[in-house]
Amino acid sequence: MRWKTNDADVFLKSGEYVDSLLIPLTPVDFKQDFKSSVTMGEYTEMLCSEMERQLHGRLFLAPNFTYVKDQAPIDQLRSLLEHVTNSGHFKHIFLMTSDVYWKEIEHTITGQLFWVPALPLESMDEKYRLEVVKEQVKPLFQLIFNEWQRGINS
Amino acid sequence: MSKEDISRRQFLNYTLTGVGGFMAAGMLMPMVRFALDPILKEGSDQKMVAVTSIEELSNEPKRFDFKIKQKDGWYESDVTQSAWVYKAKNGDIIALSPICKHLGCTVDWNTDPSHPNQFFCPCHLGRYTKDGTNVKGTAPLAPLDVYDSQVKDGKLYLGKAKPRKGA
Repeated sequence: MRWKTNDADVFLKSGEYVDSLLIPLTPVDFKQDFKSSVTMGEYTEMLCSEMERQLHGRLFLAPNFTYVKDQAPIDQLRSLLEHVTNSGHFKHIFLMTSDVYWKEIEHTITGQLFWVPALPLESMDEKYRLEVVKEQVKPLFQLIFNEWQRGINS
Repeated sequence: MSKEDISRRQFLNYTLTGVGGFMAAGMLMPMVRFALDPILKEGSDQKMVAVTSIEELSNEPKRFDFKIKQKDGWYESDVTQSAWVYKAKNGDIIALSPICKHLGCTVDWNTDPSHPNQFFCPCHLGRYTKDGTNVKGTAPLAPLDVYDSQVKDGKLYLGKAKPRKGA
């Protein structure tokens, strides 16, 4: 599900089936790292929309969590995650980013972090690009399924 | 006067009726077009998209991705769609939509080890048999949609996915 009114209506009706939240963490930079931050954002978005498309009925894709590059507001993210947890809607929280900063502090935040180095896909042929994205998300699906499985067993 | 000559009154009559007729037709034609427009439009709206050549198809469902153009207000975008396609025993080509009828996840073929040869939805463990019928007792309440399909010059064309009645 996406951050859209139509999906929100479905969410209000069948919210108990939607127990996973995916938050993209995207850095913004208009100085020396401008191009690389755009590449990161684009790549993260592509992966996230493919995952949302395949898991539409259980995974809610949150709006981007944006921040100035190299000044990641860790406290703000923590309070967002706290809010999400306290809402009681979501049992599983996934974070997706290409920014290596989060990898370092992964253990201090709740939720599972997917850190995927960005690939410059813009020069690729349309068909090939789709293949690459599909291959890239495959292992991530496995991680999500495992997490869901743990939820059933525990 | 020869017999082909016409009187001034006749000549004016013919010309005026002719010109009047043209004017009336010019006014009526757009109105008729407006009235018929919805009928004329339908059919041309639904475009079939070439997905694959039929040689690639077998008895085992295979997933194909294709892009369609979707208009959202002024914004036109490419949307990726998938289809599970296979050849039935009688040679018919069946193209099923992979969108789970429960909450819209994408179903996979033969990925649940305890229920082989079924479509399986990983989100809420919904299952469908090979022909797309939902298995009773699992989450979905309707069978998978079926694409309009057409074979032309050895290629498979898919149109719109249409819902079927529940099992």
